[in-house]
Amino acid sequence: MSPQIPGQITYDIPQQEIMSSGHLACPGCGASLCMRIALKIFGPRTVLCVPACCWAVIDGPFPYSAAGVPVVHCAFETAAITATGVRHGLDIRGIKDCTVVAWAGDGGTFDIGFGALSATVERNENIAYVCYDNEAYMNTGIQRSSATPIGAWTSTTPGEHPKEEPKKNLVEIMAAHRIPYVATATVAFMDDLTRKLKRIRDMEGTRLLHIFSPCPPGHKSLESDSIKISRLAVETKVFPLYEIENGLKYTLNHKPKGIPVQEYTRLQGRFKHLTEEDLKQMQQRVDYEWDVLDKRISLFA
Amino acid sequence: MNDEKVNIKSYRDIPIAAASLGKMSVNKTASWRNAEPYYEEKSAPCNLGCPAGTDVVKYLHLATQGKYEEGWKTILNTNPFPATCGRVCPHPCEVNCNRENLGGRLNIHMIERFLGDVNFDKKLEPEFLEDKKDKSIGVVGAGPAGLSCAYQMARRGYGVTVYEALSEPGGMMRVGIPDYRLPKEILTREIDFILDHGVKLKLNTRIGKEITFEDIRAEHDAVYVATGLHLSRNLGAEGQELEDVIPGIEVLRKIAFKDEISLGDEILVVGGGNTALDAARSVLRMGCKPRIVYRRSREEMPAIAEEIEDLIEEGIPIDFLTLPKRVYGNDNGKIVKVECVRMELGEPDDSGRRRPVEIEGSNFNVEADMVITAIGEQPDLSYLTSDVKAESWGVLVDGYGRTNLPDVFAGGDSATGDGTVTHAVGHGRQTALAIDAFLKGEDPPDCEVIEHSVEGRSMHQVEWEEINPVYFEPAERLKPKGLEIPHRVKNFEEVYSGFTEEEVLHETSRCMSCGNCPECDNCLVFCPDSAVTKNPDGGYTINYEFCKGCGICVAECPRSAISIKVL
Ligand SMILES: Cc1cc2nc3c(=O)[nH]c(=O)nc-3n(C[C@H](O)[C@H](O)[C@H](O)COP(=O)(O)OP(=O)(O)OC[C@H]3O[C@@H](n4cnc5c(N)ncnc54)[C@H](O)[C@@H]3O)c2cc1C
Ligand SMILES: Cc1ncc(C[n+]2csc(CCOP(=O)(O)OP(=O)(O)O)c2C)c(N)n1
Ligand code: SF4
Ligand code: SF4
Ligand SMILES: [Mg+2]
Repeated sequence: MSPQIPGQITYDIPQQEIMSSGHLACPGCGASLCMRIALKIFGPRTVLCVPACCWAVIDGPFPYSAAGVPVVHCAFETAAITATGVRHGLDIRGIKDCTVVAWAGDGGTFDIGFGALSATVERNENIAYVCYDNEAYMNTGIQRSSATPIGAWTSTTPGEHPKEEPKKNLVEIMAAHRIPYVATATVAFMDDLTRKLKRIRDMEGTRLLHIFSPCPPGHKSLESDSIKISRLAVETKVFPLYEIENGLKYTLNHKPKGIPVQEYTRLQGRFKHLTEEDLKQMQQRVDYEWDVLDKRISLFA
Repeated sequence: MNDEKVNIKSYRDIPIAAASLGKMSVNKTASWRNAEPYYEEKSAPCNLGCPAGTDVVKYLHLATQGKYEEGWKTILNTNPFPATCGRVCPHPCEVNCNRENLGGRLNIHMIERFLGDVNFDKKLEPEFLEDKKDKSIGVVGAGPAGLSCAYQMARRGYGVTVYEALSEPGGMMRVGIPDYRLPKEILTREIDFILDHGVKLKLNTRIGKEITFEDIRAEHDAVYVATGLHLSRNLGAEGQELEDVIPGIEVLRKIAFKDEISLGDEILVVGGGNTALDAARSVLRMGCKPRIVYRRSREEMPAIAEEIEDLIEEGIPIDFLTLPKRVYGNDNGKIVKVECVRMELGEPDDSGRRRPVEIEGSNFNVEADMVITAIGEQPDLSYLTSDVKAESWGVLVDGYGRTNLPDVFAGGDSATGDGTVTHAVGHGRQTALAIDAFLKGEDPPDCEVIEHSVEGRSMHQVEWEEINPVYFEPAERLKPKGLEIPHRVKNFEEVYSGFTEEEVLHETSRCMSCGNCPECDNCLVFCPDSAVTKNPDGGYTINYEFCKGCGICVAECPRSAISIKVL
């Protein structure tokens, strides 16, 4: 984050609100905030394709909608291909000035919609894909997904048996597809987020933005801590901010401070069962993953 | 799509392809809320710390934007002496600065000094707050308290006459504080600005001598007395009657007026306050060898901490825990030596400081041919009539500077024990507001509110824990540059030069505007519920129809300008 001087903090974000108030996200929901900002950047000429996930509910029940742009509700596994279909349909009708966005949760992206996503990227379809990652199936009651971090509590990985498997590395999988653009982001780093949103709005080909998204009920955190947790995810190296172009050109967007992981986990009840030893191992894992990323970045800068 | 409720009365109202017909803003999420954020500007530590009640946060913010004239005028609102106070005020505004934790407290006084200096050549037209009135007040004493009161009354349209015993105005700013800390043309300019408001100044007019106190009471609708502390306490040692035992304030006054003065060679200065230090540093600059003796330790020294450092840097020795017992003179009455005794600190006394007690048998002699006494000053209130309640240390007043007589008010050093220029300026202003209320037959405004520039803020002082430090980068506090020691001890040139514009901007950019909203947009940007809007005329509004009370805006406000209450 750039140094901020009183009265001189400048956000390059349009004032106009596209998403309306009254939506059904829980208080402090990261997913609703990143949609609000994304729509300001994407503008009114946007089509959202939303599969089953919190956002399918947040938008509101028929006959109402909060998004302020057309939303195509689609089946859980179909965000990427529904967006592909909408894009082709608009293209056939000669409508070029619309951004088509698949907007899905981690379950719909890492797990059930994964095959469709892979096929879409393989064909380099001209869509933007945003995965807001709250690291579990929140909408249906906090079940684990392959995006849930190791050690976390969920309703299917209770405290006595927290999740044993590490989080799947979606960004690397996308890079392996040689996707034109894939990046990570959080709402705590607004300038970085808005720049990346502009990038995925303006590019051609498949581009994917992976946004870390705090969920107060699912992470058992304070509603007011959502931005703080997002910031700590980055500064502890748990969720580094970086981008990869064409699967090969790596750029680190923010040098993390390397704050101890415990500062991040202690704000979230989903990690409260972790022992000192568990936390030590978590720190080692984070450091190891960071090392790997760091090497990749210096190798493929 | 519209904001209204959609009425579906039959299946015919349902579109063929399922599509929304209305916005979710029909759903008022206010009912979800169990806590409620609200904008509440709070007081910054600097604002609460300034004895003149200056809106420090505001002028710092203006200076950040390069609005130096506006910043200057902000200070002038409460204090007509920015360039003076920027130099001599011990800056209590900096004591609780929250920047302490991010590179050091802000160097506020140097910014104040800059704002005073940078506008030096501007001939500012006096601004009057109220219409001219036919009532007048008399002010006794042209020190900072009297002049501050005169200034505030003149701005409010009253006729003001200031009676001053000496040949020049300024009080201790003129005849106490030496040129190397406060060049006199700076003071003169700031006093001239006060006089520009139509204040009449009668110099060489000592009340009780040239005119009586009854006379001025009869002439004016109210009187403000602020005559300072101009009587020096006796040394209290044998030989104190010798000719070359001289009060420090007399030495300083003579130097200030360039009067003839005969100084010794080796001078013993007794005391630990500003007078002692300034007397020692002044005679050093006149080629003498001063040496300070002080009966307590450095921690107890009442002088301004920075002045003590400067004095030590200039090579003046201090004997702490030392008391003069006897001044020895020769047959011609000339001082030859001073016998001193070492002290140790015992139980705390009334002032809370540990009482120094003599160590028996520790007596020793110090060579000296002159002794300057600076062990405290007292007011000379002999001019007052006996119906004004006063003690030997000063006139008795309440928080508004009101005495027992309705038309007589008092302030500054001769009524309070505060002892700084800025306190005197603050008293002068507060009492002016009380005199104004008295002359209008009204109750004076709330003491606390006029003491600090509250301006719609709450009196709650923003603490470090309430700052969100991620929004501020650590940056070092800048210090002013001083003259080289060998050069500075030879003359009365000002020791410290002011900040350059670049240095000022470095310092102002460190200010976090604690408790004060400079419209950084964080609340607007981070609300997940689009419940914050920016007002066209400044500030923000929370839409309570939708706010869910998550508190993100409160958590992300860098400087605690938003509060939250649990419902
Ligand atoms: C050597 C020295 C150094 C100091 N250094 C600092 C410093 O660095 N920073 C700081 O903040 N403070 C400093 N002080 C303290 C500060 O100067 C005083 O607290 C302040 O000036 C008090 O203001 P005042 O208006 O109450 O009184 P004064 O400044 O003393 O003014 C009173 C005026 O009343 C006049 N007067 C007295 N009797 C009569 C009468 N009967 N009729 C008419 N006029 C009369 C006097 O001549 C004088 O001009 C210093 C004081 C001294 C002595
Ligand atoms: C094929 C299918 N299986 C299961 C479901 C039930 N379901 C709806 S949303 C959801 C979880 C979504 O999780 P995620 O994609 O992470 O989004 P989140 O709710 O966490 O925002 C599930 C399991 C469904 N709608 N369709
Ligand atoms: S469950 Fe979590 S992700 Fe879903 S709306 Fe609530 S806070 Fe947002
Ligand atoms: S961020 Fe928005 S919803 Fe949350 S407390 Fe503030 S105004 Fe209310
Ligand atoms: Mg999820």
